[in-house]
Amino acid sequence: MIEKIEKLKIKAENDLKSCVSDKDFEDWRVNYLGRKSELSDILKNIKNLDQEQKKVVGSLGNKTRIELEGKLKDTKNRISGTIGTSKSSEDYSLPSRHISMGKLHPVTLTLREIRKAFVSLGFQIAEGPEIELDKYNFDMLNIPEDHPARDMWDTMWIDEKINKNGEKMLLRTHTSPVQARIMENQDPPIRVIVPGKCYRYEATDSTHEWHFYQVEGLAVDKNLTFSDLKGTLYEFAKKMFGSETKIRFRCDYFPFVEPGVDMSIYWEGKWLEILGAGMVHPKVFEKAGYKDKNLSGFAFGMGPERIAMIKHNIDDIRLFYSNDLRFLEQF
Amino acid sequence: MKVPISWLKKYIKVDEGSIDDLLHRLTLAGTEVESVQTQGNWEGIIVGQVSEVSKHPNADRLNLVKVNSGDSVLDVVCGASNLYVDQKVAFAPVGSKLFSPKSKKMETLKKSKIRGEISNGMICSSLELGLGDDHDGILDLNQDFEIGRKLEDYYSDTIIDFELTPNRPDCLGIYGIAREVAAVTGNDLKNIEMFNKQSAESSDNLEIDIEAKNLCKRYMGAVIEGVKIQESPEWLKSALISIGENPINNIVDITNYVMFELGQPLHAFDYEKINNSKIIIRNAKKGEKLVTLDEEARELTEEMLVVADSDIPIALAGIKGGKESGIQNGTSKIVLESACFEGGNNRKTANHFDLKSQATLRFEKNLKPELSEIAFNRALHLILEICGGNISSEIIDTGFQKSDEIIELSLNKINSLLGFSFKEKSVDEIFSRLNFEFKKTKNQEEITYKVLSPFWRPDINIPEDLIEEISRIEGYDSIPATPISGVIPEWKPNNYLEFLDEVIDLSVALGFNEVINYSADSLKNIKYFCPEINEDEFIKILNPMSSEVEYMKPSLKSGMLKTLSLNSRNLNKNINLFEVGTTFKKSKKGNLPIQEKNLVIGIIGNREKTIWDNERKIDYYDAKSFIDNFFKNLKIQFDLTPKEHAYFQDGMSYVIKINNEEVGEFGEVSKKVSSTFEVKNQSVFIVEINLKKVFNNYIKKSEIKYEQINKFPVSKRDISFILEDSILSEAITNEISDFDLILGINVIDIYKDNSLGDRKKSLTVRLIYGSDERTLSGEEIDNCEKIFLSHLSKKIDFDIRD
Repeated sequence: MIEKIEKLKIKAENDLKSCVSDKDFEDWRVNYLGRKSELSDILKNIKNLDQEQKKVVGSLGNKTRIELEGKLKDTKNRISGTIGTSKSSEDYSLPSRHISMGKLHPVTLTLREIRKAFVSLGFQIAEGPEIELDKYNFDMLNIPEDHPARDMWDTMWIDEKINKNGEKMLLRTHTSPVQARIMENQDPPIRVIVPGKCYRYEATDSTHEWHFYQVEGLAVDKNLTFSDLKGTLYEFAKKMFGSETKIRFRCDYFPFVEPGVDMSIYWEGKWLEILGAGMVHPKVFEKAGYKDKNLSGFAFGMGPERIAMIKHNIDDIRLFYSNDLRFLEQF
Repeated sequence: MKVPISWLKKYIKVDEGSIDDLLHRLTLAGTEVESVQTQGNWEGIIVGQVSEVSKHPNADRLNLVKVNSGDSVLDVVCGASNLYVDQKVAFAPVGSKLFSPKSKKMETLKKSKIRGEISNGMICSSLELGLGDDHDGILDLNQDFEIGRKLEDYYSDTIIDFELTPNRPDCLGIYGIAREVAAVTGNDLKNIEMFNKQSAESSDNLEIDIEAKNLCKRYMGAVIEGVKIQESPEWLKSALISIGENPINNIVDITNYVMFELGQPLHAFDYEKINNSKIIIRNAKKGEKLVTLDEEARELTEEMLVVADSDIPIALAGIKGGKESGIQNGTSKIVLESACFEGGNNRKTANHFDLKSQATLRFEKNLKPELSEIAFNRALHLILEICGGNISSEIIDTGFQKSDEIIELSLNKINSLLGFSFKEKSVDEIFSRLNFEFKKTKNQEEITYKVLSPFWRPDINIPEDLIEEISRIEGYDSIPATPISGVIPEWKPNNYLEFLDEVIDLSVALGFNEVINYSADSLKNIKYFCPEINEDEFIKILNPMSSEVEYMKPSLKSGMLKTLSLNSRNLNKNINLFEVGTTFKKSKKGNLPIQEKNLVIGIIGNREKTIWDNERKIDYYDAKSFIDNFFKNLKIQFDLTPKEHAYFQDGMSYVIKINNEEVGEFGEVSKKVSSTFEVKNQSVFIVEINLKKVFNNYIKKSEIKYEQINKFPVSKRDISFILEDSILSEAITNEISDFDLILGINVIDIYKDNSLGDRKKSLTVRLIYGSDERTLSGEEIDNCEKIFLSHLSKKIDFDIRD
């Protein structure tokens, strides 16, 4: 009988260690100290024992009961944080064993969020080369050589000796050339987004980097409208910035779209531009070899760094590619 | 483009009470307001007069100036070179506040000692006053200004700075901005005064000949005699100052003024300097030179367009005038030029000389020839009024051919592109506001517009351009947002991108932080990690941001090492990083370089001491655990083979192979290389893997088929081998494959001790036995172990330790 009580006590103490919630504690109490518990049974049936045993078992049983009640109270208090020290031998406040945890770069996080938003609208994902031919970066997008619009993209050029046809090569200044590549190889309907790195010959400061990401978007189908463009981008902005976000379209100019759009969101008291867009320019269709007059489409482009900066209150774009862990580990 | 409200108001009614609303509407319609500045952004600046100028005794470039500020004459030190006695200047006495171009803040001026001389204030440039960008000299005020008066009595205005798009040269004239205001508000534009007479006499000869007809669509010119070159009247000077331009003399100021008013660049020549009174617009001849107004001698090439006289070039057409033929103080007979030069050629020449003049900014956008005439007459009017004189030659107008391009557009087309239902009436109204002439034809289903856009809008060429005009004036906000219509394209999975995502997620799961480095690096750094590639095979950026980022990276290792080093110096702890980035290599076949994604991982820094673990140095096995788990998770078999690399330590340099193909390198960076990246006394391990090659062996998670799991319990047995030290553990672990009952093997202990014998080691493995058919008996296991050991003994020498 004594052995039984002792075993019971060890079992109860062990079980108590795994209790965390109030329900756990109550179950434990019913199980070990309740009216129908084993311990209660033993104490209830003590009358059937002989005098000697009655004394020993009774005192041990009661002692055990008091101890268990005390442990229950201590454990409860410890879990609920009412006391900072423990009577048990475990120092539960010690640090845990080390496990290395990796984190995604904030640009990757933002790119994934953007992708998710557009994939849910039926867009697929494509990529294209970062070193690009002049033809795709500019000409096919209705930006001929010596056109003043070229000033919108300060370009870094690649030594053309390495191109076997002597064609001009550059570091793509936007992801838009992938539009032209897709239309060259694929028939409508098209819904695609293109994330990737871009480069511009631009002095760096807190809002400019020469090396950055862009996400391009393109939709081509019969009779797509400006309203469709607006609906798609409004939906995107609400997914990224919250369903209550105020959004604004204003007129802007990009040579590969007409009409052209600049989209802003109202954020902390200010209108902030987040992307450029518009209806695909007929010249771009013409150069891609799309002849169907009923085709229309829209395109858009955005900078994930800018979106991340707005969302996370980051005041310097250079933080993204200086890769200081004290920055990266915050996300 | 800076637009002072006072100037804008000359052309259109502007309600200053609701200016914010107006600017907002302009921005929405495409004429974006970048900033609004109130001039007079200073406190306590007054009109002063220079009464004495002498050299600073201790500094060649500084002057000691006595400035009369009305109630006293003060000593001031000033570095400007355009000081003269009696000059009226903007004087900032001690205690006044003004903008500091250095700190970019408002600062209170203090008494100072400059090279031993006391300065009781400052004479200001237009930049310091926020009146312009000029910081070369001090602002030369009009002589009529009263000494001691506050400067804001003469200068106060609101300046709107518009950020314009390159398709709208019309808005590079303030009258063009006024047209936009008219379009969005419906207010009426005021006319400007023009010369509208015939020339009275033609006593002076002038001949104009356009040779390069494709590069010059119109050239107008006339001689004006008896002009008096002098300072411009106050209104003209302050108009130019208010947009940050320096007044020069009345003729030059008028040509500038008209350019900023109407967007048409003009030029004036000294008539006497034009040989044989003949102007020829032609391509430059080989070897010709021209000294331009900025005193630069420019070597011309045959593609460049020049304005020449009978002998030599006298101006770089539409870019910059020649010095020799320019207006001088004594000039009394001028030739006024208003022309239409072709945009692309103009831009190319300007870029060649890096001469982005205000003229090129406009001409490069292909102005229409009709504008030349308007601006010509406007400038003539102002010259005759301000400079005196009269027209003394025929007014020559050559090269102009009217070509009115009609754009056809149906109401259906408008509404089907916009997804809106514009009414005929609102389209009519918008076209009228924009001065678009139109005719309508109607049949039962269609209303078709035939539209002629005005001469100031060279950007309107196709129906879509008109649709943008209609929608921007109506306001993009009025067009509804609808869910995207049409067919959802057939889903084509992009397996490679999905694989890249998995690689990134896996690296994060293995405890590595993602970094993104620049795609380019210095030649020196690239060479360390790609010694096998010839220097001329590297991909060079012709105009890099700096030599630090001059070459596209063929390997990601240099960027990784740089980032490890930086963070190790900052944090001094164990750091695990990875990057998935593009590498660039010259291609023998394609038009473009080979651009492939690599994965690089890097480990640096000791594992810190915790209550659970002792401090220890990182080693080979820390890095290997990444490779093991990475490929295990991708279900790809790989081999590690030693292979020397110049950038890795001898004996700590490997290649990773899949099916005998090298897919990556792995090793400890050599001390020589790591020290050049400022890593001191620390081991650095780097793994770089070509992801395309891994992808070729990759099975998508979604395609994995389930294998039956073993229902019967397994048994574990340990065996300790005593082996030659040189034998690799894989000599044992690789041998289990033929034994069905051995499910796995792990090395659990290894030690070296003299008691084992010379160059011997003890290696303990734990074998896992099991079967998917039954629970194995002890006898079966004993038997299997025996056969396994006898199999091994045929391959290697060993003893078993009890």
